Amino acid sequence: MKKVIIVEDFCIACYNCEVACVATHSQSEDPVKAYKRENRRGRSNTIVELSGPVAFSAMCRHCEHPWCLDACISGAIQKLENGIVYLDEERCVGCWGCVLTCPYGAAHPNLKGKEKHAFKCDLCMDRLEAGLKPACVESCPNKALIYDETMVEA
Amino acid sequence: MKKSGHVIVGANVAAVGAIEGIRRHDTRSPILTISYETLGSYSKAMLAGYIEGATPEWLEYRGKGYFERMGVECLYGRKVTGLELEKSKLLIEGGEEVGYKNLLLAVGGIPFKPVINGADKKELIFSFTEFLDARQIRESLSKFDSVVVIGAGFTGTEIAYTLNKLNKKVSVIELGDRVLVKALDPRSSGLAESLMREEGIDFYLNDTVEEIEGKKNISGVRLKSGKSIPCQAIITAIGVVPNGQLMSNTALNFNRGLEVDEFMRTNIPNVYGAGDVVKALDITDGQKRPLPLWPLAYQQGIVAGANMAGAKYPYAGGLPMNSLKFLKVPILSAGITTPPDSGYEGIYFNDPKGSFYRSLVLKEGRLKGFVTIGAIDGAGVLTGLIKSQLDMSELKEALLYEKRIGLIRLPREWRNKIFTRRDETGYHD
Repeated sequence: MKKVIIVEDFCIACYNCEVACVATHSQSEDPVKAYKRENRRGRSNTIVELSGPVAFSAMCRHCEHPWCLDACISGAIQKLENGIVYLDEERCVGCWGCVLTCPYGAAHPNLKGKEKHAFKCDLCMDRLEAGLKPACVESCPNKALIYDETMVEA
Repeated sequence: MKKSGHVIVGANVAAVGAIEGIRRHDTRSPILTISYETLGSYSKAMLAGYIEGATPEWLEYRGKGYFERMGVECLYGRKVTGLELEKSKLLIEGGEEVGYKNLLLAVGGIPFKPVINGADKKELIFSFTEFLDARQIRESLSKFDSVVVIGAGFTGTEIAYTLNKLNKKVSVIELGDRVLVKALDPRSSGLAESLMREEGIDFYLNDTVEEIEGKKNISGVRLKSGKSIPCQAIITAIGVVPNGQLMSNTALNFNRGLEVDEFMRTNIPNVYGAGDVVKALDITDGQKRPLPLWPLAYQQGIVAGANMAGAKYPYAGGLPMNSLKFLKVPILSAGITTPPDSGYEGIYFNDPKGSFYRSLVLKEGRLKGFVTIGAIDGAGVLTGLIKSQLDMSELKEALLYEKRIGLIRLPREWRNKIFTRRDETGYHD
């Protein structure tokens, strides 16, 4: 199944996934440079939520029928043939339709500076093609994020 | 006579949804779209960007080659003039006939145009709903420095904001006592108004244009209150109503909107409707009404298309949703934003630091609507709660005060279903 499985009981809220996501989607692919030079803080596609003993990291579910796509007025959001729901930040006009309609809060607004666009998880499709796992999954020290394409939706 | 399998009148978002719905179930039958607009398919929601200088190609949100790739023939710049439902055919301007197996009427809405004294034979009076309007406004930009916008709804405020950005002196006249009355509650409406006033836009509320002044060219408008506002152009943005032009003198049930069932089918078995033309289910109160909104038009299109292709696939209903995308501070709203009676509870939070505002409307602990200004990340979780109607009576404070609304406030079981298994967005056709 083309999505990261989230196991909330295992999450220790270490935020490794957020750092890994920011790094892999940055120019330098280096966490320090991404945060310090590329202004990528807050640009993680996965978000750790924490309240008391409960914690998990949540990102796009790559829905069969994505609400975000229905609301996209620019054509930036597409359902690719491989099942990934992809948001082309260049084409996004920042109408926030996806932010308003995603029931999982997984499409995020970038309100920093002049770049007004939404962003979301792309399932690290470049990494998948290279035979790697999504960066968040690889960085998770406690198997709270799992990726297994052979799993079937129940 | 020309013949096609699935014929769609209209080429915008509902039509695109329908093409996608048809092709999920029927990859072979020919599809024909007919539109009187020469640009054919484009994003109506981005027209303000075109006025600001974008190219028409930029408006083509499915990109070049989309229709060809989907096996769709397009007749653009051709107006459908009549329907012969009992013979399953339609007439196009110039006398051509087109036969169909299934017909989708995705003919949209038409702007409601007020009759105003003094409007006769004057140039520089525009509406703002389709490409032709936007092109006329863009081509006339050098001919006016000041403009009056009639109507402070979404369209009115968007065009006002856009023209103000292009250094026009903009005055907005609104009959109601506040701006964006459909989308916002009174407090957030006031905040939106001050955001726009700060940009230099003037508002005249509880007022209406009595007369357009000027002999040959517009010199101003006289309001009911007696005030006169000098201006050189006027844009009417009072609202759109379902376009019933084709339906008159036919057997189709059209009563301030095309009547459709849950499969988006009209009273004629092989005729469907989708988008701004129809009255469809509003889940906030269970009534059917026109809700001229982008995502709903697309979803209705998908449903209509799937059913035209033989599926049996119901429309889940929609709800009012608005994103005031043009403002510097983002404002999102959905559902019922002002409590209609004492059965509803309205609560709000205005962050003392001034960074965000939120209001919620609940009924028996279930979320019915919200407005959020400034802090919008996760707003879709609230929209989802209006749909799922989970009992949030214990958690309403969290939904109100927390800047980013997360899934952590939702019941663990609900959350884990979407974390580990299939998605719950519905529409499993």
